[in-house]
Amino acid sequence: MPAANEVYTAITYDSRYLSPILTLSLRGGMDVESIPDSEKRSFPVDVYQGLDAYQAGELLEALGCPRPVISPMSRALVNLWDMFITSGMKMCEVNPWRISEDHRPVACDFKAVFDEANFKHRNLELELPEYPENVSEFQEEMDRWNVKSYQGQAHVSELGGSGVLPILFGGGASTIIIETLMQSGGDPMFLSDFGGNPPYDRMRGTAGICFKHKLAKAGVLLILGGKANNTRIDVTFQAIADALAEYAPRRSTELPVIVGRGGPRLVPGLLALQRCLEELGWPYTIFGHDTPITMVAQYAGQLCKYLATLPSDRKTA
Amino acid sequence: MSHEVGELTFLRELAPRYAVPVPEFLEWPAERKTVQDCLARWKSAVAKADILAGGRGKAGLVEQVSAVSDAVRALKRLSAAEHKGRLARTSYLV
Amino acid sequence: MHAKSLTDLLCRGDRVAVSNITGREAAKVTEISQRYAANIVGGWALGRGGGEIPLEQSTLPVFSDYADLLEHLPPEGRPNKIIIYSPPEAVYGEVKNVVKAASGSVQTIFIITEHVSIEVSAKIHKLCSSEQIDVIGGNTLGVINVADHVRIGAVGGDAPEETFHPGSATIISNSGNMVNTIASYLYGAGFGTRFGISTGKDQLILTPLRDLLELALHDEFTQVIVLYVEPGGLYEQMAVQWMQEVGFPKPIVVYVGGTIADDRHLSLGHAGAVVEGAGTSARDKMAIFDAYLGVPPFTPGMTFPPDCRPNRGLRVQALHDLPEAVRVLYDVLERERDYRHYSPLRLNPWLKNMGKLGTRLPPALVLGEGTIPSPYKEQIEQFHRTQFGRMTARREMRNASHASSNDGATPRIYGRSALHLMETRSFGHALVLSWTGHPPAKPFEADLVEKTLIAALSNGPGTISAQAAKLSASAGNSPHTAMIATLAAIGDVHGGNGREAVALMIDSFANSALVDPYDASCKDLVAQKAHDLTADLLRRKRAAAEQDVAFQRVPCLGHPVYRNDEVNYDPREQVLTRFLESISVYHAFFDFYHQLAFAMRHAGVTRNVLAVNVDAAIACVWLGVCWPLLCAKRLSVERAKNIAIAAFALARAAGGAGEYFDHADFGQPMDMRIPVSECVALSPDLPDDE
Repeated sequence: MPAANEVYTAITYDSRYLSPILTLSLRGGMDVESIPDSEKRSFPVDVYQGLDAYQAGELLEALGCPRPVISPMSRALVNLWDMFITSGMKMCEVNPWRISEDHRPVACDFKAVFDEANFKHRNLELELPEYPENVSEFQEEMDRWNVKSYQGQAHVSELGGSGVLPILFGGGASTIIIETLMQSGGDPMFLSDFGGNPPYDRMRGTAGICFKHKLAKAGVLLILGGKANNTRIDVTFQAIADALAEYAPRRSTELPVIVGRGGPRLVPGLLALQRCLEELGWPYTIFGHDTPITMVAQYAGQLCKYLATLPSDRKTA
Repeated sequence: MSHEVGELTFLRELAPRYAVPVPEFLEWPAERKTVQDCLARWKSAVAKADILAGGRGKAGLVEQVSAVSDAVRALKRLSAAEHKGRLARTSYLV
Repeated sequence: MHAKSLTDLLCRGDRVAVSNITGREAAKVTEISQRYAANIVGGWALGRGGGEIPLEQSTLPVFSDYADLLEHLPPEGRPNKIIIYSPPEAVYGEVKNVVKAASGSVQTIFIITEHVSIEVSAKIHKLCSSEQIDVIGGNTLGVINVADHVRIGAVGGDAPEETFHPGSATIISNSGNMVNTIASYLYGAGFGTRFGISTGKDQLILTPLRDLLELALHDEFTQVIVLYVEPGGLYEQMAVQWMQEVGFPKPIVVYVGGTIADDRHLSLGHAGAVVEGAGTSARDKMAIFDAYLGVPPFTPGMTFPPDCRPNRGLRVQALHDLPEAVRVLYDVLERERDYRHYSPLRLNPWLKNMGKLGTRLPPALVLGEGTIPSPYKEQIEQFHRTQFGRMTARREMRNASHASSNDGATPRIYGRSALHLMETRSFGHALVLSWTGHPPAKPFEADLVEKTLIAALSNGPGTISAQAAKLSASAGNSPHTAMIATLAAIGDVHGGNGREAVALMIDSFANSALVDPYDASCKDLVAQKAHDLTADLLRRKRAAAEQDVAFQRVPCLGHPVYRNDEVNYDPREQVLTRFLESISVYHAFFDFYHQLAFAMRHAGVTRNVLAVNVDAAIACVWLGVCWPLLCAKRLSVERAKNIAIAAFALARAAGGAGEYFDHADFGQPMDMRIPVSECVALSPDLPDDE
């Protein structure tokens, strides 16, 4: 079979069918996005009944697959489906299958993703190797801390910035806060999501890791979230204040702090943080939930951008 | 949250278990003699980095080899590759 | 789809059953939902059957499983809406049970649970769509129907009515919290909410945007649809395609978030917010909407020529532009806003202290004073009213100190050169600085402090603390050990009572009109406080007598040494009082203690003529020093209390040294020992144990 007829296959879950789908093309060996629509077929697979060889065969035939290849290729696809569903994958791709001279398909490249939420892959007792990660100490420490407990999220992703240190709450909120920071010149250090009503110790640990690695170099500290449904503000903010007091001596200069939050037991939380900042003598501005988080983020970003233009000796109070 | 699976894990763990037809492969590090045997049997081979980043071909992390010395050099290089901020775990020959 | 209009998802009259209702989140949300909507008929939880969830005025039954719930509820009370709070691995089983037992009665299942596997999501979709049951979620926050005052899930948090006011905008959001946020933004601009819908953001959204738009289309009260969109999935592509096909008549206002995920290998908060091919990235989705809307993205202040009216709606680039975009849209379409009020979103600082930095900022970054809205303003005021003294924030203190420093050249006390203090100030002055962190506010305070030190040095060899020093000397110890012995012999009833006296006076005067304790115009207030306290003491004494329990004595009154004197004054305290008179200084706390002794005798709290003892005098002097600092929240209450005991201890330790020197020179070793002949055995001799 000539290289032009290498077979592309992928099994994924598709948002149009809300079902697993099998995608096939005889134009394998290239990026699936660059295969023209006319040369690939997608076929929803019944998640209960699975893929059978007959369906796979029909699909291959429709694509114009050479006849002797159809049967062995169909069998390989059924096995691939079997692997996909019994190991709890959310996507797997073989690109390409090469066809030997005696019409046998051979999978020549492969990638797959297990669904972490699916217990099946853990039941297989697969030996999944650990890949060395090229991540910062901060990222590594936070990732380790994150998996230690399911109480409250401790997600961070390094962004490589050197401006705003963001302590953010809520998955949706943190994304648009970071976007706003980027647009307004805030140069955020990382993306964070620390929502989910973390207890005191959890929040204290999370904030401690952030401050340990990032406080010394930060331009502005931003503590921001929307109006929380469940997260207790007095608990989380006291924890942040205590962590801040612990790591503040690592800075030689004051750090402006911008805060915005709403939610249960807001006032004791804001006052706990204010007290800490007054003790440290750091400049601060605290907003309630009546100021939109994107406006607070914009202000923090602009402030950070302006401070970065000052000569370093003028930043010291 | 998700857990990615590379080709080498597929070749070693998943393909045999689910009877998905795959080529023979050799994981680095390996004896020079073993590499030689494989090349003699397969005629030509491809050295690949075991890395969880997509677009290996374009990034030069897949190399066609036929001579033993080329193969060993390629396997060594690819086992320490870095791509899109990720690091290779090892390399292999198929 | 089963539903034909938004009200089919949720309306008044729906009956909701809750899975895993005893779980932490489910129980809490259920309580609030029931208060807001009263639409829950019961719940079930494994192993909790037969129990109840206590509510404010009633209870909700808990069944062992869904079948048990159906069996026990009357037919007309059976649920038509199910909300799933079960752990992820149990979700599929619960949904299957509901579908199996529902036999057409259940219309909608809301899956709150996060981390449901994608395989289970696909199975639930297949299962429920074949039974004509709609599924919202997984990982939805819930849905609120504002006009009907009903909700399912936690939309609106603890106080839905604070955020959600009836109106014409339907919010559909990939992020649950953004439903609340957007509703509150819109309300400020005069728009209420019709429906708030959190779609959930697992990889498979089981009621896709297209379907929700169709429901909104058939809802006569929805005038505008506000969308919050994240990356991942082709839901928007499908929705827009459909809107074009049907000529969707209602305007939409869209915000697309998540552009940062477009260029980076980032996992955003939501499982489904993953870019995976054309049409799924934030930028692709923006382009899809821009092409549909046919007008450029909205920026505040932009105008629309007649040939370019935003009939299909607008896409905003900043979330806080949403209400302004809706307002513009209503103006252009000549529609009335839901409410008359209009307060545009703005930066409104609640608490601010930008310090020196504030003076260096460019005008654009300088914020005016904010206004704190109710009830937060009152809460903050209340806090400051009831909070007395400084609230300190904890910090690492191992190698850090406010109290002292030494750069190798100048030792400092709270930043002030000890050398300069030595040259120009008294010990009393330095002591006030060292203990309060601030120098004395009035020059006579240092004198008062020194006089109390003299007063507390000694009170004769029979005092317990003096005895301790003598015992130590008799045992052959060094002077510092004898001083420690002196300190060790100070306790709650000897020397330590000053702490209680300070506590008593703080209780009486905290947050009162008393700010300057040397201000004679406080006299009436002081008399009043003494009177109030006496009345309170009398009440407590009677109550204690009735219950036959000991009456808590007033600290520092009635020292036994002077009990039988004609005029019952402690002479040391009198010296201090006379000193104050000689320099014409009124002292509120001395006055208070005198008045208290007098009032207690007259009110009959005691039959004795009580004396104000030296501990009280020390307490009064130091509290006078501390009081303005406490009022200004620059000193903690705890420190003010402890200073009283430290002052006594400092002087008495010196006095102990005096006893030691005397005893060491003139006494015999071991002379404090009591001979065996004088000791009394109170236990009979017993035989040794076997």
